[in-house]
Amino acid sequence: MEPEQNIEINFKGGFNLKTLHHLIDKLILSLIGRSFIVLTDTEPIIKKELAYLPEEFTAAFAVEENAPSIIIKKENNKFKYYGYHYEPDNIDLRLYFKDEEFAYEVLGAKEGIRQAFSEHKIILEGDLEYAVSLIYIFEVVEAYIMSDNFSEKIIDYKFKRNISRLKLIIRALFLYREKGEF
Amino acid sequence: MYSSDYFEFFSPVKIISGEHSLSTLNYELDRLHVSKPLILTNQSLDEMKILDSLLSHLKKQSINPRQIIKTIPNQATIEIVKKAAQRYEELECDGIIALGGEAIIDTAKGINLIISEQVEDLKDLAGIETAHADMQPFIVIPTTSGTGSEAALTAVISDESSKRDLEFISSKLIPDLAVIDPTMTFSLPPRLTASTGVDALVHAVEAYTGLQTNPLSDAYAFAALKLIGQNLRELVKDVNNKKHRVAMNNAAVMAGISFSNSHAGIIHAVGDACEKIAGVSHGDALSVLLPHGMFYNLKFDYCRNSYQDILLALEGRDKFIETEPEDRALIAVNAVVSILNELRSLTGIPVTLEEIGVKRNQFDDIVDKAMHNSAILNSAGQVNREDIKSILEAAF
Repeated sequence: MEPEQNIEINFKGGFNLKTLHHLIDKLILSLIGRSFIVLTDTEPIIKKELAYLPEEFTAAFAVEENAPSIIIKKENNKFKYYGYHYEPDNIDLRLYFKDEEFAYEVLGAKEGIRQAFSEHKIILEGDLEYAVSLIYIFEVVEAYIMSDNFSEKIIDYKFKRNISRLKLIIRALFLYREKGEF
Repeated sequence: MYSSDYFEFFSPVKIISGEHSLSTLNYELDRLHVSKPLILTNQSLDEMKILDSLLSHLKKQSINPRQIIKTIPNQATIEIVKKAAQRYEELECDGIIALGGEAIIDTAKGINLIISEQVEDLKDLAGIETAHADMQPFIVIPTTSGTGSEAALTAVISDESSKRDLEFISSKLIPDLAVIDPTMTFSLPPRLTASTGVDALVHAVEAYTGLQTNPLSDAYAFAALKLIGQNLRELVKDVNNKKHRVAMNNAAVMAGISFSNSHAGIIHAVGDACEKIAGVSHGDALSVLLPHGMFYNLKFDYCRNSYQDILLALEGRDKFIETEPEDRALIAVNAVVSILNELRSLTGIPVTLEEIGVKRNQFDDIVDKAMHNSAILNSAGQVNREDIKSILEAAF
């Protein structure tokens, strides 16, 4: 009897934690996607990387292979955020993690995306040059959203905020998007 | 700087190295159930009778001349991969043998992807770990030691229609077998021997200092550096020396395994960018950039620690012990510079970017290209445009 009880306790604990991580991942990924758009106007690194991407470039980010993706598209030299419920025919680049826990490490501010990329935790379908562009943008956005401590210690990122974290989050939450997200 | 103890290491390739390695080919083809291989090579290797040497070891197989493609160009392209894959299917081949350097090996990797994944367009598989099917048996016989392609999980294939180089990174691309026979690389002249040796040196150095450095790839990189320190200069002085040739071939494959698992870094990223923008040779660009990239990395604690090992590997125990611990990293860079200087006096390998034809007005494009090379993400620190520009200025 005892081993069975242990299994159940572990299973329940693991399940709850996974569910919590899943919710955090989904929320942060959505916030990052929206912040792409907000920060394009104020952050020179994002402007520069946006210019590097071809027009109509469409990227999908997901926490794991079969999870829903957020869609970002370059239209008229600007980013557009399409949220989770838009599935375009042509996706130029798809980025997802090998496992949702790896996504949680990045989205939960435990590890930088650059480190995760180096550790083979990320799968990329598409042109790697463009993927590097998006990773730079992702990094800047994450640095804005997370604490300065995370930015400096985890992703080794020193930068001057052009917009406060609170302002960014409020603007991101009220961002107009093309399709319903949840 | 954040560091993690997580790593992945994968190296399933069977390596047969040394004299008479090719003699095992019939046995190995049987083991891999290959009776009708498609053989890829180029015109020069045919003219130098290297292809004949391979065929003489395949007497058990009846090779139809159409199974041999001798026209693989110096850069793998989508077009040639597609044509060769059609030939593979038409002849109902059951394995691939790549005889040659990086371009031929990358072409073979592309063919294997198309055939195994059954895709119409290779471009659909660009990226990282996009292949999932069981691959065709794949044998590599390298004729230039240095690239490490025979053990690497990467392939770069040009798409001429979009003028872009597509990168394919997948554990599925690693060959089943690498036969490293010194008779296949004896024909390399001193200049090319030096250049390919430096390529291996860069792989080992960068594997040691990338973000994904790990105990297993460090072991391979250390062993490779030791062999390079002991054999590269000697081999360049006597390119037909079998002992040094085998040692350098082994160094190249170990450096390849090492950097394939822990990635290249800033030196490779800038070198590749110089190659693409200025059209200079890969080996020349790396020879010039190696010391400057190492100097740049000296500002990072963990790189300085790694460089101490590089000193031990290249210069041996006595030099390591007599050097003050705080000086070892810098002395390691000096050890690399001294190897490069000796190779320059022996073969004339270049030491400045200007010398190899890079123009200062190309710097912005080179910086742009290097900043978008995935290797830059694995380099120490947050490499920015100014860092790359300073390396280019120093190397000019």
